Amino acid sequence: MTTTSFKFLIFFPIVVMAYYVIPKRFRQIWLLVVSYYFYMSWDAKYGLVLLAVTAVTWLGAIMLEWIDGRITEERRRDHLKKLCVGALGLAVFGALFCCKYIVLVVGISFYTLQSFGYIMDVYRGKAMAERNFLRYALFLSFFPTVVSGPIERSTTLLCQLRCEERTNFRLENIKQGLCMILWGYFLKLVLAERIEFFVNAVYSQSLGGVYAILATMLYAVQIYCDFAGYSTLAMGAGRTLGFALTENFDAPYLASTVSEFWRRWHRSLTGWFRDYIYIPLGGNRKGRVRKYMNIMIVFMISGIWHGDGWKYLIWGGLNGFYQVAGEVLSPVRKKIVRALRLDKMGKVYKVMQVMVTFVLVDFAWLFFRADSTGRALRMARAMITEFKLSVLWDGSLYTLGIKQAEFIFLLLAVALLVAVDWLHYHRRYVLDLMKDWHWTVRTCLYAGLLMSVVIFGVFGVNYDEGTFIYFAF
Amino acid sequence: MTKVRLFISHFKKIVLFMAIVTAVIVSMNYLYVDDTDEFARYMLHEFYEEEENIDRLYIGTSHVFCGVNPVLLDEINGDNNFNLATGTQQLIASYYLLREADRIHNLDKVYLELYYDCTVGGKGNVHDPSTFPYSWLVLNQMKPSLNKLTYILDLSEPAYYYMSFLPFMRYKEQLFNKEYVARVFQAKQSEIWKNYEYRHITRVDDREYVMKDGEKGFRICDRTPEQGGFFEQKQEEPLDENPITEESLEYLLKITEYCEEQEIDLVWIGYPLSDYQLVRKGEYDNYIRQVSDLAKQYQVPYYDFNLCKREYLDLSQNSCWSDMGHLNTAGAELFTEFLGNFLLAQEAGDAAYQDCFYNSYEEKIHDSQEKIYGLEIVKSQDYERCMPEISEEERGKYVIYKVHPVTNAGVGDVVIKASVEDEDADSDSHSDKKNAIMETIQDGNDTYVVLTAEQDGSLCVEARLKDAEDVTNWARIEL
Repeated sequence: MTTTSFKFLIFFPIVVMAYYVIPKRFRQIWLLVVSYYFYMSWDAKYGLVLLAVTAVTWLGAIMLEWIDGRITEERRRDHLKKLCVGALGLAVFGALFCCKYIVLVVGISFYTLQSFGYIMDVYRGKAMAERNFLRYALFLSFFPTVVSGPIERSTTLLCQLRCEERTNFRLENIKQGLCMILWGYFLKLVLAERIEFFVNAVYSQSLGGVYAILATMLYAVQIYCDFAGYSTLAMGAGRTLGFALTENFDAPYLASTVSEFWRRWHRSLTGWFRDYIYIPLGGNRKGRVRKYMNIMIVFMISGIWHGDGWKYLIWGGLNGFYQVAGEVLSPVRKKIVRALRLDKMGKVYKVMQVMVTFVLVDFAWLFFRADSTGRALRMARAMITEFKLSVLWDGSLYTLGIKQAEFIFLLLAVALLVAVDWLHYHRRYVLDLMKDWHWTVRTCLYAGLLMSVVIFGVFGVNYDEGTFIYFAF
Repeated sequence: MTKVRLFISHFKKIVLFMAIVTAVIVSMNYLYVDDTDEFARYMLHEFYEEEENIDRLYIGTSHVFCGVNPVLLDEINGDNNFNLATGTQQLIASYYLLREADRIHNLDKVYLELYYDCTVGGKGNVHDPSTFPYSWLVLNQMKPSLNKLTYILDLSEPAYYYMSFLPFMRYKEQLFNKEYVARVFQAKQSEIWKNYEYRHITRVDDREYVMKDGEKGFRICDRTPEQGGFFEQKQEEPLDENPITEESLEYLLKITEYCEEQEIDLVWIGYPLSDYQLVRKGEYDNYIRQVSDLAKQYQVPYYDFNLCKREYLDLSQNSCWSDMGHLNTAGAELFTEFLGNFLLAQEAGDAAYQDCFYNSYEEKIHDSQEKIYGLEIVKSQDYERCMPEISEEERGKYVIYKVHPVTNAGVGDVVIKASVEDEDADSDSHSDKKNAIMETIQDGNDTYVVLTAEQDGSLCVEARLKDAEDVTNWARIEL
């Protein structure tokens, strides 16, 4: 069962209705039961792996807290090193295990990171070890996040689980949650799935020129809508049940620099890498060279985490390189800006920055999407050598999975996405803005959004429900 | 007071939300659901408009709405007869239409067609997604009711519900097809569609055939088969020993039990099909045998009019048929009159028709005058038989057609001639082209025609009985 499957449309309302009907003290147990059911619907044995990870990390955290204060700082560092080595060993073991059960990667990657983050927080004294096993088990297995995140922290979701008030019925939570779910479906089913037709057609044939440029640009939108769609769905499901999950995306394509992009893209994972890899490695506290090395290490690890091919390593490396190069070349950039008398606070400069950032990030996506590094390089070369603008109007563009009218529709939908993200970027949230609108307008918008998902969404009996891009990581 | 206001506020929002959603669904259905050429739309509209109580209900496939004229039956039996048949109606559709009819009317008698094609094989599996369109054409026209809801829930797995509840969702491939939407929209602007009339025009060569709505679910069609008789270009698999599927049996039992509970007299009927169709299909007696056994088991009268002796009902002439499975209006008139009188006699216990059926279809065909019912022409891969001397690589240079006469004549009693005609050839070389067939090989009554792969034009096949002077059947295939 995935969140875009028909089963989920039956499963979720039942979960929510039962959740608010049963007495408060049973609500979290109910969530735990349905979360395991949701996760085990892939395969029952996955539940056992999740349970084992839960038991080990729950006990580990309690033990860590118990020995805290009884040992010196020096021994504590020693323990930390052992912990890191142990985690690495666990990861290698996990990876070997996953070769056999590839689907397991889905869960292991996200909830393993979450449990590791929890242990580190307890070790650092940022969080208290959770004594209630069931509550901790729910923290790791909470069905909206268990498959593809967001990777929650002990300071966020676990704290909310400790607060019983959260489980109170609030109509506002239901309304906002359902609205988020609808927007998530719009991003995933209307945009990501439709764009996929074109992107797949171009990449499967390794086409060059305008085709490759357009497909790579659209792939940037596709992967964003795919993952942001899933995350918004998860947030909506969480909100409906009274929990505020971490916002994973914050208008990333409106970022002015690549480092800003990474502060806005998959924030829960980037934050995890920052807190548990970049900072322990020394962060920016040990000189420039170490900082640049640390950035490269973090992004290379991020690349490896996404997949085992060279293409992912290159993708991660490119993103790290952009940031290092950006810092190294900062004085040169400043000189150019001064020489050209550009207004750094002006809109033109800002738009240029956003466009350059998008091009850089998108070029890295080319490696991420292509079947292999060789193909990606061939397509990159063919973007220039086979460049023909005429394909934009000779009709050949519309023979690759989507027709002309569909293209126009997609452009309109992307424009809507940009508008929503632009508001988001300026900290003006659509849901908050809508509160001031007349109820008839709001109701029309809700109904319109629902019907646009129903009419324009790509789903149904021939639709592969398990095709979230981030399920593979 | 605050609670009342809050309730009103939410109620208003819900009403507006539902109104918008409904308006969008209705508009989408109007734009995308193409029922402009759907006989069921006219028929079910008339059914819902019927004010007089329906006494006798006829349910089944297109054979029923082509072959049974309720207006004639009204005159014969003095009751109100209605034809509630739809194209390729499976037994699940028959079951829910029966319930729907019984909900509105006080049914006295129900005549259920048992047609092999809708109860065996692929179409016999009512839960097979490939057969859902046959149910959807009924569901599209059914008014909202508990029967309709149960039918939808019963038909498919939940994953298919969205297509049953929201018909426009079946047309997702046409979502951005402006020409399609324009065509459907234009067709729905016509007076015929608005007035729930039905017209279907077929053009064959220079002739135009019109099918149109009759009364009470009867479809008028004056078409007759082309001169030269029936011919098909695909092979049929003969019927197995017990061919009816589990799914069809389930609904047959449901229909039977429902009629018993509601004290409705149920009769199972095998409607007339052309001898060409039944002989070509093969082993039709297997089907009759299984249905007869079931009829005995459930104590339901079963009459298969394909077993009828010619002296009682003679539909052997092609002039009675619009195609191999459907009677035309002339044939329907003959059959309806016979059916009406036959059923009355059975109800009265009259022995007038005691001897009107053969025991088996094979016996009937054996007892009939020798005839070529039609032709079956299919591509064959039997190079071993026709060209044993050539290598496998060379086979691509030749094309083999197997001409199978559908007949009750004995082996060797049919003469088949084949020739190739090139319409583009000039008059001088015409005769050469006409005789350009490489080889014909006789195998019993079948003939294998060998052509070169480059040969262009039309393959013309003529057939006659050995003792007959004139060619009775012919066919032409574009190569």
